[in-house]
Amino acid sequence: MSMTPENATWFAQTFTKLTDNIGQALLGKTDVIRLALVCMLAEGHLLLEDAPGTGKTALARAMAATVDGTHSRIQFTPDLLPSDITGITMYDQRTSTWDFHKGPVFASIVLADEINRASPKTQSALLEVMEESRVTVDGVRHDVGRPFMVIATQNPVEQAGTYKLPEAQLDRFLIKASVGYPDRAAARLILAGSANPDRTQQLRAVVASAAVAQMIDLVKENHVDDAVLEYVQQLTEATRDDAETSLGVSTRGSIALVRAARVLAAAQGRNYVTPDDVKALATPVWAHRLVLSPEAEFAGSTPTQVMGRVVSSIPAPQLRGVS
Amino acid sequence: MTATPVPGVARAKAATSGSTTRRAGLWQSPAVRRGAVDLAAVSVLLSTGVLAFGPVFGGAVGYTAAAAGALLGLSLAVVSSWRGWTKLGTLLAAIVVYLAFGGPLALPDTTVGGLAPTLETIERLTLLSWQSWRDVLTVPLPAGDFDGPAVLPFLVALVSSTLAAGGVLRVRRRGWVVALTLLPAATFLVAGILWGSHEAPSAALQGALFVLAALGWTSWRSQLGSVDTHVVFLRSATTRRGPRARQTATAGVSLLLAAGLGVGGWLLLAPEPDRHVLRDQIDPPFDPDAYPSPLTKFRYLESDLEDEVLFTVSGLPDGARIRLAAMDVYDGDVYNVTETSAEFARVGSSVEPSEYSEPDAALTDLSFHIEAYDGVWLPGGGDLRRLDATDNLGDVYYNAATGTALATGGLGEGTDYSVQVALAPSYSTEQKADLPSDAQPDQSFPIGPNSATVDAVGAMLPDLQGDAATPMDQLRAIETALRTDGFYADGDPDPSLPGHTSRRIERLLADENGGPMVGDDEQYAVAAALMARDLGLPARVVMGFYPDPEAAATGDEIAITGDDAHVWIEVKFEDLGWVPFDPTPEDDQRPDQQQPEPEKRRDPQVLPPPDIPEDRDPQAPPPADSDVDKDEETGGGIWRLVKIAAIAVGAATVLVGPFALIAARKARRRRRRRTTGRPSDRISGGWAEIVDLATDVGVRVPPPATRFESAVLLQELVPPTTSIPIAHRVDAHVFGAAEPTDVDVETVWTAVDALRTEFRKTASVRDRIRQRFSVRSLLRRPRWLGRGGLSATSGGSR
Repeated sequence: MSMTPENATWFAQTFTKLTDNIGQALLGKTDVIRLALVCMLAEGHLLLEDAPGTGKTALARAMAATVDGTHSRIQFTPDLLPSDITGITMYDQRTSTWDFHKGPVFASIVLADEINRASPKTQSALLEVMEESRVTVDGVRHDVGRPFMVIATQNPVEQAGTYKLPEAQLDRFLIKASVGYPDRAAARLILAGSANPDRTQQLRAVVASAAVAQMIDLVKENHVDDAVLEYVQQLTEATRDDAETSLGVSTRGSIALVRAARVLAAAQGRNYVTPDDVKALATPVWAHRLVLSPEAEFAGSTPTQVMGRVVSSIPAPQLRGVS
Repeated sequence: MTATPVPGVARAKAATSGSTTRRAGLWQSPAVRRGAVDLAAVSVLLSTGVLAFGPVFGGAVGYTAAAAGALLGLSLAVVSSWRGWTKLGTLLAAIVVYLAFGGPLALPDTTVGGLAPTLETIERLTLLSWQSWRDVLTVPLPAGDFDGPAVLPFLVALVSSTLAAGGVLRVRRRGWVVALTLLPAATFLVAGILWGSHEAPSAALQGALFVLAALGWTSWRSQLGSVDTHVVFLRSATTRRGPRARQTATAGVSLLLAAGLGVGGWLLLAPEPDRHVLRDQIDPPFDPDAYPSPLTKFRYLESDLEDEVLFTVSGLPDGARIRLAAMDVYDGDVYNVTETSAEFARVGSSVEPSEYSEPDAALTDLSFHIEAYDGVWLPGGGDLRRLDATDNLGDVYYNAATGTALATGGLGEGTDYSVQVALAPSYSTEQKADLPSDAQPDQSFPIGPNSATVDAVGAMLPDLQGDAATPMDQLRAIETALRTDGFYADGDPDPSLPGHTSRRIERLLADENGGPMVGDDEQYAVAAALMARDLGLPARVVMGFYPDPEAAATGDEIAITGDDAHVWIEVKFEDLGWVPFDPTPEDDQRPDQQQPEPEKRRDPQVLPPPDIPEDRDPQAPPPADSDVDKDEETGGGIWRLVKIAAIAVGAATVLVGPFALIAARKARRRRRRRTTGRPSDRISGGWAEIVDLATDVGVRVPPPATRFESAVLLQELVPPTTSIPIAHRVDAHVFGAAEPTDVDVETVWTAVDALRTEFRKTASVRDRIRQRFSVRSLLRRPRWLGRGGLSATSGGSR
């Protein structure tokens, strides 16, 4: 059962509603809001690499408020333990039972602040939840619910006392993005309203969690032509063959791109994916997955530059694929 | 692109150049690379000018001066750009360079040691800066034999290369760079052509090189700053296109190039004599036919001025002869001087040894003082090396092959001049007898044609040459026979008709009344020359003077009288050179007075006029065309018309053909796109048609661009309301779940047609022409757009 044009139109309308709503809290950041929503609707997780005070937390809270879901925040520190995230089983003396006390990960939107400050063990506990969407404590499985999205942040400036996320774990984030500073007009608006710094409190949910779950299910059916799949495959191979990469995009990465492209296409009211969708998402979805060769890093190349080159080297398909 | 950096948006160009710059250093810097390519292109363009200027100078002089000027100009522009000199500063530097290097390159004689300029160098360079253009046009070729003309190529090269390289290095406005560089380079080339000669061995190379370099470089330049690869992020990015000025300039340059191509092609195709050089306009070529043959004056000198001193000469060795002219063509009326063997070239005071000169001949200085002689032909010709005249002789022309010199100003009483000549070897009777009998005539020497035959010559030859078998013996036999059997008479006191028309020679050899041979040098020499030519020998008639052997030893200064004028013949032998033969009987070998002379009774005693046809002016040049030529001309009229028509049709085909071909190919491509393949391919073909339209008009759509990105690029061309919806519609049909129907195909193509109509309505005339006839889309159509048929391969495969 594939997506109908009507479904796509409804999807796009809802998507726009969500974008506009979050946009009230995060002024002038439509692009990153759309990325975050794409991430959420593709059931992926978002890694924000940004300086403090750019609105990472505001974004997470605004998203949670908009989708009528719960929101929690975990500040990662070196002494944070895995159980601080997943929750613990405690003995209840009154009932003489072991009760599971849910950790902060049980929320629609989880903000993992400064994830690189925690020890690898703690990091991997979170990453396991991200992959499985469930927590297993003492042999008991606990589903975290839908929608479930982790927004992790990294501070690119301070590197002392941090544990850099391993490549394998970076691969589990669907999209890596940065919020960035607002442009001048937005900055003025923010300053003018600085008496009320938390705009997220004014947000009201515009979409029910159930509707979001429905959107997630719907978008999985969005049609991707063989030519577009071929295009993704060519891009994947190009990242692997590129002279400056020592590790290209994994198959998980290719799947992630197709998944995200399906959402982006639907967000624009289309029940089919075009090469434009792929192209637009290639860098945000893939750049953090690339491992550059030492020479390239030494020469100052960045994954973003490599992605730019890869995307501009592969001709976009113009014909329908042969199935 | 948006002004603020948007996460995830990559500009491919920045990505690549950013990483490589740091890696490979200075040479990888785009600015340095661009400058190097620019300068290389300018050098190639200028080299065509150097090639064009070379041949007119002969040897290396022209090439050296032009190449040095170009190199100095380039260096000057580079230094000027590097040091940031002002225009005035650069101009002053150019003047210094001109004065410093002009001497060694163009006026080496005025410099110290061929390098350091003297005051005279500066003075002449200053004068030549505006006079050299005239000098190059007026001096005889090769111009390299003269001091001074080489200033022109040096100066033009210096100025044009400074301007061209300056244009490329310093002009900031993109569109102007190409124009300001091509213009001086083209001026250099055109000046080289106009100031050149008809000899242009590398004309085709120059034209081709210039056009190719200009085309290649211009298109390379126009690629710079064209649209970078667009990565549209979430449809919020904008695109840009090159500035308008650049496109206008590119179009202008394209036109310029088209004109250049036309001219170049014309130069290539035009036969060489049609080459138009300024030299033709400025200096009409010298025509020796405008002057009467010196031989027509022989009888006048011989009899009327018999005892008058024609001129005095000093420095003449014993037995040497003073040459006046050598004549090698006979038309039945006059034996004349021609340019068959070599052209008459204007000479200055010094004459370079020619290919006809004996390389190590001893040179003799002769000084002349003219008294009764008058005329344009200069006594003292031969292998001339120097000519110093105190009096104005006008322009002196010299034919190196025949050793004949002519002064247009004429010689008259009181004229003094001196010459340095390599005198022709003189042979005594014994020496001539010792010459090898088996000497072979040198047939390679070009001799003018004999257009008249004298029957008696052929008839008498067997008798005269007897049993002589070799050319040398035959000539000796003829010489002896004429000398011994003939009688000398120059009309005073014995009757003898002057002139050397075919009738006169006929009468000399076979008098209708059975009389003996009577005549003077003029007739005997012409008769002997005709016989020699009849035998197929390279013979010519020489007129000159030599003093009576008995009277020769009168001291250094010898007075030449009319009686000393003589005519003899010369025949060219291999290894021996020109061997003189004197067929004229001694002047005391007079006809028998007692013998009745039929002619004597018939002709009055007064000196009769030369025996020439009434309708011919003896001094006029022989008619150029015979009747045969006339027939050809009338018959050729139609032929010419046919030829002109053929050329016109051919030219029209050449001109229109390519355009028709292009239009036809585009129509065929369009038809195939619309009708062949799967419906989705036909829809893709509709978009390919739009992309090609854009490509033809000059919008570069990079292959990685998606349809939407292409549509954004097209915004300037057609309203976005037209192209972007079409892109979306095509994408929906191509990438959508269901295969489109034929109705969908037609809908898309209708929209494509509407877009084309819209484009034609709004586009400028230039763009419309480009859209129809540009070959860009035919040449540069990337594979991914598919051929007209759009083979059913996967869209993305390369």
